[in-house]
Amino acid sequence: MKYPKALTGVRLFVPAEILCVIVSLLTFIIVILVNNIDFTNMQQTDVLINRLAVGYLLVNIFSIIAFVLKLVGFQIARKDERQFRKSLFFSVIGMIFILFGLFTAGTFASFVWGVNEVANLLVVIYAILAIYNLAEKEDDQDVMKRGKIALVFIAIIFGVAVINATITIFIPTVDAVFKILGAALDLLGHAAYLSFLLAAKKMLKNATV
Amino acid sequence: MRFQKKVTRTVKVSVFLLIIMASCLGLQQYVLRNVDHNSLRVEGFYQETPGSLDAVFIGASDMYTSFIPGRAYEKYGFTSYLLASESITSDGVLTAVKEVVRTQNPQLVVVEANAFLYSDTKNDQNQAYIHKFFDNLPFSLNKLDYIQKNVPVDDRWEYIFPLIKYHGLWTEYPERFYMMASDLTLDMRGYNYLKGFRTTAQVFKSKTPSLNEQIYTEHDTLPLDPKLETQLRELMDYAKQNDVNLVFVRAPHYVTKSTYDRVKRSNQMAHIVNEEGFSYYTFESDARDIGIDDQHDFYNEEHMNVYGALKFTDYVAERFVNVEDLKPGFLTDEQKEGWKEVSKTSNQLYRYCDDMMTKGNGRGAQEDVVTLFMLDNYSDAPIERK
Repeated sequence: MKYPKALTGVRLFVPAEILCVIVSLLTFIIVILVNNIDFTNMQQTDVLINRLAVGYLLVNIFSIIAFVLKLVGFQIARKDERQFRKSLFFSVIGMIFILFGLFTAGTFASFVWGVNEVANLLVVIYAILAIYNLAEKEDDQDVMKRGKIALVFIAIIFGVAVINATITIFIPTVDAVFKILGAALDLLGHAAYLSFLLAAKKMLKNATV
Repeated sequence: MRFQKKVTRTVKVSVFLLIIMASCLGLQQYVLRNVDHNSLRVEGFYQETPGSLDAVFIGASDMYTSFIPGRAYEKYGFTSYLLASESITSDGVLTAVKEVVRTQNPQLVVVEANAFLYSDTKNDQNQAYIHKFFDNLPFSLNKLDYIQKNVPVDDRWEYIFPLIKYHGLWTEYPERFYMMASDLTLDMRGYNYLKGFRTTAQVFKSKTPSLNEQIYTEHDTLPLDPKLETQLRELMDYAKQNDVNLVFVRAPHYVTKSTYDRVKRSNQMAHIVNEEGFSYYTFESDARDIGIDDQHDFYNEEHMNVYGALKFTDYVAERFVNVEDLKPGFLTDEQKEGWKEVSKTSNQLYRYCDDMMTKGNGRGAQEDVVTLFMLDNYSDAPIERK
């Protein structure tokens, strides 16, 4: 095998990404439920809040597992491809800012979470570029194409998030529409990235010296 | 390799631009900004959980020095906030009401009459007073609407990006440091302790005689400035169209000969407001019932000190609960704990000011790091009125 460490890394990225998809879905459901709690019906509210607490717990557990899998994956894979180092670096930066964000609120918290979002974006971009480099060396057009598609999705999701943040100042009523659109694109983006990782795994398995 | 280089270059340029933008926003938000008690008050309002306030009090300094939200919660259970700014303009009041509707939608919106009682529109054109409120509002259509209507074209960008106006403030450090620290700690904490209340620990002693006894029987009126009356009517129309439960109040003042005309304009405003179906509480004429002592309860002609504010809060809160049917809304356990802390801090502030006034050390008391630090030395038990 030509890139054993990269393969090990990608093998860890796949379950991590599946967990991220589950986290996205769960978070979306939780947000919908929280926005529809009827606080005047205390009995129903108590039951719902207990269920939401379980949901939050699962989201946090899955997020931590996914983060650890990715971190270990980047650490191993960087030995075969340098670009994975940048993903590792931005993963650590993102985690530092998440921890910091837990103890802040208001505008400062928004800034901290914003930095975390950008860091997460860079983690994925550099991971895709790293695998793209390997695919280019192996001349695997399919993986390269999937990588480009995944990057296009990332750009679109980022663009939609920026437009949402701007346009809802002027037209607050479209916030819900943009949130749903953002969630749908997020899911498609995850699907594109997952498809890219699965193709990359196959490519790396077949890559011989 | 070309594709990777293109992507990497795009990423690097984008991140660089983001860093520049974040730096400018950071400087504008925390460092190169005219932070004062108005900033802490207005910012604190937007930190309140949407829909968590039962009442919002809007107005100028008469408002934020007169009513103590922590006291009202402790005694009557309803939550409130003082979305008030120094010498707020008449159109600023309308913007404030719109912001309240946009973010909170409380049971009751209370507007102090001050902005409509000036003899002319000089206050409305005062850029300093406009900045004091609007610099601290987050960007919204309401803010943009006000800027477009009231600010000269050449000055508009400095309202949208205050950094343009305040970039020179770096020369005023380190003196400004404690207010910057107050702003940062407020932001990181996520809520403010006094819900906008501010006072000065001072007992006003004046050689100018008070005419407060005379105003109880004063029924004469003077017309409002036409533009201010138009603004008042626009506010009431907005309230009707948007189903806002709006009431007007006039807080007690140390009325003298030079300010007596305002009492007559207040009477005229009461007529206008009542004709449109809104309530107008002339608490200025109720000073005797409230128990306000001219020689003890003011820190200057325009504002009550904590002694006066405590009495006024009790009186007004009871009136709103009984007459306006103001009821405590739902609060989570966490929110209740937060409001208990607000009440305790308000009690500490009262004792701190009482101590300062007893010692003759007149000073401002507000939501800043220095004052909050001093409050730790005082009891947070409820204040029992003698």
